[in-house]
Amino acid sequence: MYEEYADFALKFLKKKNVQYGEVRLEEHEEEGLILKNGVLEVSGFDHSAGIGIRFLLNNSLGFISINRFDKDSIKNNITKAIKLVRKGNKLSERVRLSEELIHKKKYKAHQKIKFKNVNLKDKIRLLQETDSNVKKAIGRYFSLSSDVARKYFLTTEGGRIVSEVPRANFTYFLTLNLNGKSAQKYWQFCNSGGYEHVKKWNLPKLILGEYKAIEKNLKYAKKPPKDNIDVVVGPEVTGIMVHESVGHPFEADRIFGREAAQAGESFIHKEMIGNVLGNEIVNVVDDPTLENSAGYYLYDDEGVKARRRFLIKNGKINEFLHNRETAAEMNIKSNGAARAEDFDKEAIVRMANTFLLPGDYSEEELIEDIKLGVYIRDFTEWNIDDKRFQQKYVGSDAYLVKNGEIKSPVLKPVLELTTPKLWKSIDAVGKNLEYHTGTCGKGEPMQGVPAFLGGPSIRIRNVKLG
Amino acid sequence: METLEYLMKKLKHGKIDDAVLTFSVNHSRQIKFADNKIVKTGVEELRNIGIFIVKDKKILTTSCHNLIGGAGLSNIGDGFNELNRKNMDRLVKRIFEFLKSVQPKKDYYGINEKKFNYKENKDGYDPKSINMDDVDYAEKGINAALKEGVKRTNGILEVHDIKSTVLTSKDITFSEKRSELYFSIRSFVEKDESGHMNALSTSLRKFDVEDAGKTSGEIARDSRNPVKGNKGSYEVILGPMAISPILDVIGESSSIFSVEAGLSFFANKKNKSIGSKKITIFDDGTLPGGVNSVKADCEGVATKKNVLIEKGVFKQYLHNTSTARKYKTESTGNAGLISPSPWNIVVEKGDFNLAEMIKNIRSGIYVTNVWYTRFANYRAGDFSTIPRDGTFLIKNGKIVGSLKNIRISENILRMLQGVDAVENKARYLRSWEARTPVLAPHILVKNCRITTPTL
Repeated sequence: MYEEYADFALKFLKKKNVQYGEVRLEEHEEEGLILKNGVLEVSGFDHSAGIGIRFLLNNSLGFISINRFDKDSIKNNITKAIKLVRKGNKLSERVRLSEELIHKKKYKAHQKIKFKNVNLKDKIRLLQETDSNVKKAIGRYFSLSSDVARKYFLTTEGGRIVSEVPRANFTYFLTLNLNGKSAQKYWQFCNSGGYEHVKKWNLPKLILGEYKAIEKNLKYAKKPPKDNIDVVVGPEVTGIMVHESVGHPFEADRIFGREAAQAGESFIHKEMIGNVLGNEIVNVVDDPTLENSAGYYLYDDEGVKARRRFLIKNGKINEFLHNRETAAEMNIKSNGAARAEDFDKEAIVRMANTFLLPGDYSEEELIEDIKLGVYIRDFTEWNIDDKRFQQKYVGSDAYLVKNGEIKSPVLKPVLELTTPKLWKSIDAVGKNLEYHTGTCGKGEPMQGVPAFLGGPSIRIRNVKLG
Repeated sequence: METLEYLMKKLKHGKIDDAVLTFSVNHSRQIKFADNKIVKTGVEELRNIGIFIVKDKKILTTSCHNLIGGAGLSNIGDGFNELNRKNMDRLVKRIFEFLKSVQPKKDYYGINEKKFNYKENKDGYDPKSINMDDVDYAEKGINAALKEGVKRTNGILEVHDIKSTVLTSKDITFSEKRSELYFSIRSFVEKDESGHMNALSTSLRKFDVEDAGKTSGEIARDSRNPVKGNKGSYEVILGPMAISPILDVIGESSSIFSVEAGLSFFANKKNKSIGSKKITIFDDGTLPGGVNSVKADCEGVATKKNVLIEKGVFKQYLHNTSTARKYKTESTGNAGLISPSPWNIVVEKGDFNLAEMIKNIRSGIYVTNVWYTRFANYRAGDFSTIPRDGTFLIKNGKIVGSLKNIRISENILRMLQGVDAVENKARYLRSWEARTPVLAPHILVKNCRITTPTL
């Protein structure tokens, strides 16, 4: 519908003799609803579109975002941006982009059940059924939405990628209050594809399960042991650990300091490829090509073909996440990690779907030889410093383990660890790989992108809980 | 305006209860720098019509970001053509079709009908910012930091020129023009030796990038050779950057929406003592020079200064007209038609300067910035946050060294109870984790829990 404006923008960039130019037209068709404490708070739809334009001139980088679809406005804004780039040139970093294969491709993630074929009434009914199972919770917030994202990407090098990726999203907050004590759980779900994923999530059962876990913990949980013990964490906790302490510090733009002002840097240096970061059973990948995933794409927002990135191989640092700018800095090829939140943001180095590869153990086997320990199925609060070295995860649904058996719930076990010690203390990896979802925040201005955070259960030896 | 009026007329034909249309145009520029060099410059022109409709208490929101073909929003103010009309008609048809499936929100009580005599926000707009020399400003900020002996600076300069018009179904209409000038600079001597400061202003005259650069450079310079901190209970001074994410959450938790959703530690706390008598916090939509200051909220209620916490007592929740009617009170001028939200969070100044605060501490930590503030439980207020940049150990009234690898693991209400001193001057800023701007002094909190890694 708007392609002629993107074509025009590219033509105008060429006319202005930029060294390199790219145009990314994005359209989003969204629909969503929020149910709060059983009441439909709001619902709505949205159709947005806009163009993001990036160019290199005298090796300085300029970016334009515009959602005004007329050719004069596009021309004026490009002219204004070129003027600003020229003005800043004396202070500018000499940006280089890696040489990459030029692709002309079209791809699409399919909706087996199209969002538009599901009546809003059915979606409301689903959330109300979900809510009716957990009425005793004092705070019940459910948000269900869909987004069909279409992109039309062109470069002055001849690249042309056309894509359509639909996504289904669900977010909840549950707050319980029992005998003057409260507890809360937040989590989100996202898959690329259609409404079939919403059906698969089985929200009424899922939320009831979460409610019961929080209630049990509020009723019966006791403080965790104070001495050093063994800890098994479930896939949800593994996922966040992998995302925060492997995915982020492996982003090459952090390593080179480009995001230092806000998102921070990395404890990893570019010379550390090959260094040992964890036990040899630790293998971490980031894979945008994973079908139905939250972070799904086949070509990144610089037109580079996506592939699985092996971040940690047998415990050793294997490769970083790159866009064309950081790849050029290391004289290598990009591995297709450039992503932008929407047309109005520049593509920067991002994770897609980061997960620990599964091992051979069942969860029972991970637990069976533990004399005294804690099993942490999921978590609430977490954070990590901006070099991705020192992190904290507060367990939510967690249990004491005695003589290989799961016993009574424990109250908020806190793992406060450093990254190398965490990955070196893992002595067994489960085979129960799960993918969870997060909205990964990075950049200035801030950009949030959907990502899978995954892995199986893992066993961490000899750790003191906070 | 013609587009909004046409759209409103069409919506009114559909026998709606209420409608609010908001048209905004944002012209922005951006300079991002890393390692003292510009790594990107940006130009932005974004237009949007926000649409809020209620029919038979059924609420729908949508927006109209763009209309095809040289028409639509591009022509607002310059005429209105047939193509606009067709697109608007299609949108209105879809709105009424969609509304058929929506359920009513029984506790919805309407939008504002009262006409206010708005007080113009004179300090809110500076036309000089349109042609300011962005590169020169960024360079001045960077140089001010480098003069303090730092090696690297990273950050961003943003200039926003925002125009908006609101039209409601109660025939209330008004326009605003706002400028927002933002500069954020983080300075490094070595990897663990850094300082960060922001500048935020509506006017070029008060946009002090050099002060932000200098302060960030000073903090970095003073944070040399940090050592690992020890866990324990400390007297902690939180600087304006460090307190800003906490104030942001205090603002959000004051919204009645957060209270109802179970996401507020102020639930059931109205008129109750929740903190030390030394702390008073406002939300102020009229703050002179505030980048979020506006003459009216998005349903046309005049904004005002609302006390949230007065000498440790939580005083009121933030309301729009509908939520105020539900709770039999007055709107605080904070619509947010779905969720009332704060404008500028202001901490009332205290009696001490920073040096006096440090002098009175036997065992404490001065935290200049924090990062990654996350809650285990918004209802209870349990959270942790990570000090970053200059973090200083205080012993017997003096700064004796620089720290790293510590975490504040606390509860908001407990911290508010622990406020022991408030600085007699404040800094206006917003930060990465505090999207609501704050006017914040240094604040001294007693018995603050510091944790460290156990593995």
